[in-house]
Amino acid sequence: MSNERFDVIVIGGGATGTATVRDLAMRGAKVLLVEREDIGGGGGATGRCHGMLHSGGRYAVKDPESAKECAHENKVLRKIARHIVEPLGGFFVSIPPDPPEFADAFVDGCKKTGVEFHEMSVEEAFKEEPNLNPNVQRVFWVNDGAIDPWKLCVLYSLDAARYGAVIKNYTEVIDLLFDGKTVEGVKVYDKIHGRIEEYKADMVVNAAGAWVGEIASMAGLHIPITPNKGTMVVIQKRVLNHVINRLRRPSDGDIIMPHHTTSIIGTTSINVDDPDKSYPTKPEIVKMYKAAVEIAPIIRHTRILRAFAAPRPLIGGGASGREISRTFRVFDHEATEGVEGFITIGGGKMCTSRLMAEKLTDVVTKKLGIKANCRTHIEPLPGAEEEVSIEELARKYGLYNALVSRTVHRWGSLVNEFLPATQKTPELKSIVCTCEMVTAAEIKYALEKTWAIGVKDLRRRCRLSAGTCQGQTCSYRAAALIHEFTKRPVEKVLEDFAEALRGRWLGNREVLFEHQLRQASLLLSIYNALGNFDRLFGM
Amino acid sequence: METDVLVIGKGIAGVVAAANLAKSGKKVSIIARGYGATALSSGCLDVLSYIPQVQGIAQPPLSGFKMLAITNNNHPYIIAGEGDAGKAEEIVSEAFANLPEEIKELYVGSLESNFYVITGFGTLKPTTFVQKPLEPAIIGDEPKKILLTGINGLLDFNPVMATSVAALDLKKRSLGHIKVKAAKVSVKGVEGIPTLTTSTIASVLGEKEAFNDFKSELSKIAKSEEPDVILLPSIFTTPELVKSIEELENACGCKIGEVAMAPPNAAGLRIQRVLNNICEKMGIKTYQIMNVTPVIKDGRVEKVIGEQTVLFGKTKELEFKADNFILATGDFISEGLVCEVDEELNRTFKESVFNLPLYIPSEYFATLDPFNPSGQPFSKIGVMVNSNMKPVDHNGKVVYDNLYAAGSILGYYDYRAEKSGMGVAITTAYKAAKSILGR
Repeated sequence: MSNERFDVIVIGGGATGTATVRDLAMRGAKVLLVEREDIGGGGGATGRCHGMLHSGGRYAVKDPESAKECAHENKVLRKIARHIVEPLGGFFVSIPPDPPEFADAFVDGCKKTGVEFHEMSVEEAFKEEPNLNPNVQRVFWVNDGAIDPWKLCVLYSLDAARYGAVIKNYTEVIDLLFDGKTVEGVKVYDKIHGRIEEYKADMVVNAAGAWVGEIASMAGLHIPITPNKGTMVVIQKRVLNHVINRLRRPSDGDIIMPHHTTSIIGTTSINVDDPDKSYPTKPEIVKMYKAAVEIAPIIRHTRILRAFAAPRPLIGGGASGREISRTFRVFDHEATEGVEGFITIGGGKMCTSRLMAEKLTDVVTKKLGIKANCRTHIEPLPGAEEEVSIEELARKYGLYNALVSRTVHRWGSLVNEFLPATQKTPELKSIVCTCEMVTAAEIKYALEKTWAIGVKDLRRRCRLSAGTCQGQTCSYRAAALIHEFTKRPVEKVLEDFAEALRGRWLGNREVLFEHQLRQASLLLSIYNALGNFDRLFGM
Repeated sequence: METDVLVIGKGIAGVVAAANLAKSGKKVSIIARGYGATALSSGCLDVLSYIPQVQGIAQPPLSGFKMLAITNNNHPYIIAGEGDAGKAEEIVSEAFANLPEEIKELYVGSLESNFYVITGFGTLKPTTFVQKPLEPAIIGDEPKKILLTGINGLLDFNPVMATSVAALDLKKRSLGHIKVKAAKVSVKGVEGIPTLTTSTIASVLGEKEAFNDFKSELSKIAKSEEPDVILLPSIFTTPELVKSIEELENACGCKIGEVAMAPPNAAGLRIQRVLNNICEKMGIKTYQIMNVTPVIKDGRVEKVIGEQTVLFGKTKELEFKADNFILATGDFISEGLVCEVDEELNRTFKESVFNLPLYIPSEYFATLDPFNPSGQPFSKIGVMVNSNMKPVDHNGKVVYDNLYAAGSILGYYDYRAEKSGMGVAITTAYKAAKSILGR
């Protein structure tokens, strides 16, 4: 039993949880975050989303509440998280048989919800997007962008920690602690150290995403949440310059997102029973792929890297996934069920996480008697405080521009916390992941300062293994550095390494053909024919 | 061009087949896209270490054939032995005895035993022959103190990790008499290179000054640690560098060797160089050809037409007529096999030159684990052959009477799980040559 007492414990390290911890900490509360997997990971909706910074356009017709929230938060995130935002701009394109009348509804919806937009001539659009389907009839520009969802959660957490919050990833809630009908803490299993701990607080916030129902049931409560599976397909390269949406009611495979070195095609919307079993299936992948080829025929000649799926925590049930609103709701269990000290937040989107956190924190701080106002929309996130010059850094540390540019795009001015070390220790300049250009210095920083533990966490922090080769060379290099830098026991490091490659394999196997099958064959040759890892792990 | 035998593919299977034929007086040419996957390998000659779903290693390697004949009688080894494990053992022995001298000179080991060798990952890999610079990395019976020595900035061999992994693996296999320890050494001139590879290190060490500096650094470490063996990454790419190992050993007072590594590595380059030398010495003409189209006449391969890149994307066509053809184009890695998809993402597997019928196991991507010790079903996809190494269709009928296949293009086995890649390549290549010679 830990003696440390908190004002608030937040369960769940997705976008909602980490944003809430940040807000609470900034308003002066003493907060603990517990996440059963990694920050921004956990197999939940944040860790496996598009990374789309919605303009609101997608929801303008059917879900005006979400559209308004997106339009508002789009502007906020471009300020506070500008270093991890790519201000791509988005196109809504109408390709037959998209219903022409939807365009009118779209214009109407955008106007009503305050979503910024304008119509472009098709000729103009082709100048900017020559790879679009030549049958495009109408094009509307909106303010869509890309944002790194993994990094957003890490930055929320880093900022929260600056304000004194305690962040514990790989810490799974196994029960709630009660004093009568009042929730007074959590019992957790610390997966890193392999021990059970208890933490107490005045309030426990359930922000477990698709798993809020499971946590609430520990307090005997029922949350009407529907885990809803979204499958996405990652293709090599960026074939488009903008986020492309279809000008029709949201349906499967109607978005293509340029994202870092890749493009992501999304997404499906299928209600599922068990959020832990959200795997992409072949028919879903084929659907996504064909829909994307319809938008940009060039995708037929682009390598598919992998597919992944995540459970969205949609509020309500019964209806098919597309009919459920993407907005969020705060459940104050004291007001409704008489359970004190326990609040659940459900629904919502990564894009609107800050706003959700603000509303939730308003409720929590009121109960705690904290008067401070929200400042999360004003204060920049770590790394966004100052501009850094890529050329200057490249010169100063003897690194090439392309490498520094990619690194800055991941960390903003936080690069100043790890690039200087390369002067004293030149081998920290070594590039561990050549697809994404990740240096040993960046990995060291991610391990020491951002709660990264295994190879998969480094993917979320630094994009290690997210590129073309899908971790062939860098997975083991990174595992070795983890062992060297953090002294993590070799058995654990090997387990992490195996798990990381197993995870990649699950996402890859449905799309192993053409070049990617060649790549996978080489990977198996290296690790099994040479490394004999198959017999080391499977002996 | 006219020749007795045309070999397609320049990896170990292609060259071994060509050399055996040339030795018997046949006129042989090789066409290939580039180097085969042999250059990408660890350079170890694996014969057979594991049988899928069977615990423990096959010792000696050929002792596993009886089990293979029961569990998988379509295995290329068993096919080469005409379905008989004993005959299969004989043909493997014969194939290795008839390896070109240049290859034999490069290796240590014998078909009498498998042994473990330390890899750059730190793991123990069972194999049958290793190149001489790897001899100190062999785990023998005598106690040894091994210093795994990395080079600062070279990520592909991390001595700290390798040492921990090796200690773990040695313990798991009850090989406690071998002690491992980590060390690091600097090579002047490579500090801070962001993408440092073994070949960069090799080229720097080719300079006398850098080499002498490296030698003195290494001898300092040897003096303080007093190991029996220092294992370095796979950096001795050229024959001159290989010769310099002795100089390092004299300076350090201990054995110096290389670990077995993933590409790019010196061992892969050494075997590829030897294969090139063999071709040159035996008068085997080689042509770099991009696309190959076969011409079939009366159930035989009459000739193949190859596209050769001349300059700036310009190509010219070359015709190769031969009495017999050997297909040794490798598996998916070297694109002897390809997997295409249609609009529905349905896969079609193809042999890329002759579109030969393929063995395709059902549920070829069923395995959820890349580390499944029983292997991956898709790895078994490949060409079916009869005991003469002639490709056959699903009914066992010979496809073209003068066509033979050898190496990893063959189906029905998973060399990654078995650790049998080079052994199968050498044996089937030898058997194909032997069939052509009518012996």
